Amino acid sequence: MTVRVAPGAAGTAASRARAEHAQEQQDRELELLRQHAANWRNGLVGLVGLITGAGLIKGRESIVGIVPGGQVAVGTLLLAAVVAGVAGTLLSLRAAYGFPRSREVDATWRDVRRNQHARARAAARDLRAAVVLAVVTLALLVGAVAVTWYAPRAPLAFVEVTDDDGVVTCGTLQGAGDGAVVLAVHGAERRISVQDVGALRLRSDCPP
Amino acid sequence: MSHGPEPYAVGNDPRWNERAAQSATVDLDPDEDDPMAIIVTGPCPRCTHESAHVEPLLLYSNLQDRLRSPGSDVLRLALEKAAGVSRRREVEVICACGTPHPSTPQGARGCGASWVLDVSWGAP
Repeated sequence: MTVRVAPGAAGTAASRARAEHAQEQQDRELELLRQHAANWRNGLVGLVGLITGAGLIKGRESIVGIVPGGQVAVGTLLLAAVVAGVAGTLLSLRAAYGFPRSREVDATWRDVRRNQHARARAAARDLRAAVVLAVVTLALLVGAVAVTWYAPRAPLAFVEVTDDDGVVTCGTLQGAGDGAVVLAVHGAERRISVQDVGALRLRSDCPP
Repeated sequence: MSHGPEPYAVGNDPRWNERAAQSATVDLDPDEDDPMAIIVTGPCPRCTHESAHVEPLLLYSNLQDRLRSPGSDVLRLALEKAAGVSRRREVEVICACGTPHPSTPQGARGCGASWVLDVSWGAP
């Protein structure tokens, strides 16, 4: 290693203050990074909660009537958002608190210094990844909402008939005449007398 | 009659720079290709007790600062090596010996002295 050392310029109060500040920054490097990570962790936990609370619980009602491809897209986007949000939260937790593991005691002072800096570098890397995942999570959530709002609706091709006894029959309309409505239900024809019809409505699909 | 350690006093002296340039051991951590810190060890030119100082060249503080990670500047380092570029830094070393000195303020270490070294590495 070709390191050359010579006497430097005379020190001043300003150069001394800068040197002390650099030492303080160095001593607090890991602590400051972990404070940043803890704040990001709080934000990510809130974001994941928003997704699971609003997206997953209400999601099933919101996607009824959307074409099947749109439903799959919404489900996939929400799942990806949860995965990204949880991954980002875990990374921010690791950046904030580290991860318990056994490690050899540093043998030299140089090792102390190097491992201290390595921990700060690892925390910075985790924090950057957590920030990226937070943005990705938000983008996926916005995408899921956009598909819910703007995806084409499935045509209302099914008829649901409720008779006076409350029995519900759902199928595709084959015809109507001779005082009856004819539906195809799972391939079989069902005739329902018009006089027995209590309620009739159109649906985009029939319940299983 | 022997006298104990000097009392703590913040100060610098150009003669200390010259004395320390002769006696200090200076290393780059992890290596001179992409150093993250300059490590200076050796006797304090004022109190003569052994002291160690780490001058950071790179710190991770927050994401708004431009961060350099090992290996990210491979192309820049290769070009600098090919061009025979040398790098230089003035390091103000603050005594951090473990010997107690009279009148040392709370939380402080060493005798209070500081000295400046001109450290360079790479192609001469």
